Amino acid sequence: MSYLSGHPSPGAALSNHAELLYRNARAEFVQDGHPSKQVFEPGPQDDKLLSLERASISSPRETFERFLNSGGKSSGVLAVSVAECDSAQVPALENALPANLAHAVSDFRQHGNSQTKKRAGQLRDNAVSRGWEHKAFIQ
Amino acid sequence: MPELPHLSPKFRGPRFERHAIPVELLSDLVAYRDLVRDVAKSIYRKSTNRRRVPSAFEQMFRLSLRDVKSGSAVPQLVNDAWETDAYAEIIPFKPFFDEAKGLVDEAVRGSHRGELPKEFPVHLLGCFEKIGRHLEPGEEIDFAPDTNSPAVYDNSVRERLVLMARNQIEADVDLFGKVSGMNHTPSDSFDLLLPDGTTVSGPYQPSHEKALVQVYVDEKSLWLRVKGSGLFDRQKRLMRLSEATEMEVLDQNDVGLLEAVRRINAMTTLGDGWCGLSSRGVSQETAAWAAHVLRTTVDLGELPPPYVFPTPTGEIQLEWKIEALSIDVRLNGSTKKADFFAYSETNPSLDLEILVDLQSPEKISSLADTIANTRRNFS
Repeated sequence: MSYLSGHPSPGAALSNHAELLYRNARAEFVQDGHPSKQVFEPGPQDDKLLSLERASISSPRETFERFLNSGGKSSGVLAVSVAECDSAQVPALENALPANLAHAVSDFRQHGNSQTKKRAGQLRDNAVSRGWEHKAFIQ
Repeated sequence: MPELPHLSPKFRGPRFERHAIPVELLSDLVAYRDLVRDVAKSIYRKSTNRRRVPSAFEQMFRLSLRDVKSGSAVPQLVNDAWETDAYAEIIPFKPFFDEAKGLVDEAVRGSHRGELPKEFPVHLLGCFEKIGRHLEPGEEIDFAPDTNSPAVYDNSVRERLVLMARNQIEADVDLFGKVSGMNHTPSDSFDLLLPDGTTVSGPYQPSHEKALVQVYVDEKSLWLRVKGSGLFDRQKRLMRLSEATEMEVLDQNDVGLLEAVRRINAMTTLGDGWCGLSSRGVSQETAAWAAHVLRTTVDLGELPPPYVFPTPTGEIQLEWKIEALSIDVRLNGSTKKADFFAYSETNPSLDLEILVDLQSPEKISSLADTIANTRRNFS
């Protein structure tokens, strides 16, 4: 099932450029506290839309626990701002879900594979500069 | 000259692709020969009710390595006994060796189900300890190639067979850590603090003392690599080092490379679905090959060790960040190719994307050149 078939289509661009957007760092994508670019790269099933959670609706801890409850294994939560997504040309869009009103996406659809990696790397670097918003107690 | 083609096990894995066998694995062939011979003796004693076997019995089984054939590597073990004048004297014993060979194959096959052929002499299970201990992850031996029922043997089979008879198993170790203690009484021994926080102890030889002291004194920047053997319990926990054959002082880069290889090997525990329903696990073959590519590239390119991660498509991604240059190499173990992508943070127009063919050792070496050229062009 593709991302779009399981979720409503993304809505308007998020307008508060200072708002932070949280992203869980899957444990397999973190080595010695260093996250891979893949943390911010949409997966094969995501149709080039990267799932994020809005800081205005969720906290880093809530985002972390939601991921754990879905069966994922997270090393912690990182964040990028709406402005940073715009700067990397992967705009942040509204995408609230019935089960998760904080859900938003970053739109990579205009980019090919290499540019997707590059933009994911930019977001990762922004997030690393900001530091971990929440860290798993046991890595 | 009749041969014993059934004693031509097939070695599979990256190290055997050039139809060669690393010399450290030759001792495994010796151990395999000894096991088949000892099982044959046991069968003979049981079936004849004799306590001793005739002297000609041992002469029946004198193997020489005459050739290594392709596929990946198939050593041709020829029985010299067939060429002697005593041929007529030893031929009656041949059925015992045939049966022994079959029993060893059955023990290997049955180990996957936790079953042992009831005729197999249980006291000889420990002999498997010396067979396959030098196999690396992703490598295996088929003791019954060219049959409808292969007898595939790797380190997990080895562990299962030995642990059917014992509570502990000796295995090769290749560890690194900090030296946390040295003792001279009752005998020379040392304590090694491993990266996971556990400590193991073991004996050392006088020739190792210099390296031990060097790391003990410079505990911040240096590490000690120890190769040898250790005793593991049923939970695969290392209880103690039984022998240290090599010690080497490592710096942080050396440790980073070892850690990267360890991470790659650990990725094989990821099964399909680990990162979403359609995601794929990392196969043993991919991990073994990627570790080989990584070691070659870092050594030849004099590179710092990269960060290593699995990908949802079952590949392995190496990520380097060298000043403003970002390099990703995504290794596909099925196609033996790599997606190479580099970009500069300071010069956005300098993106470089290449599909690199790594299907031969020479091509694997070229990956280090590609990275070196990229660093030169981007600087």
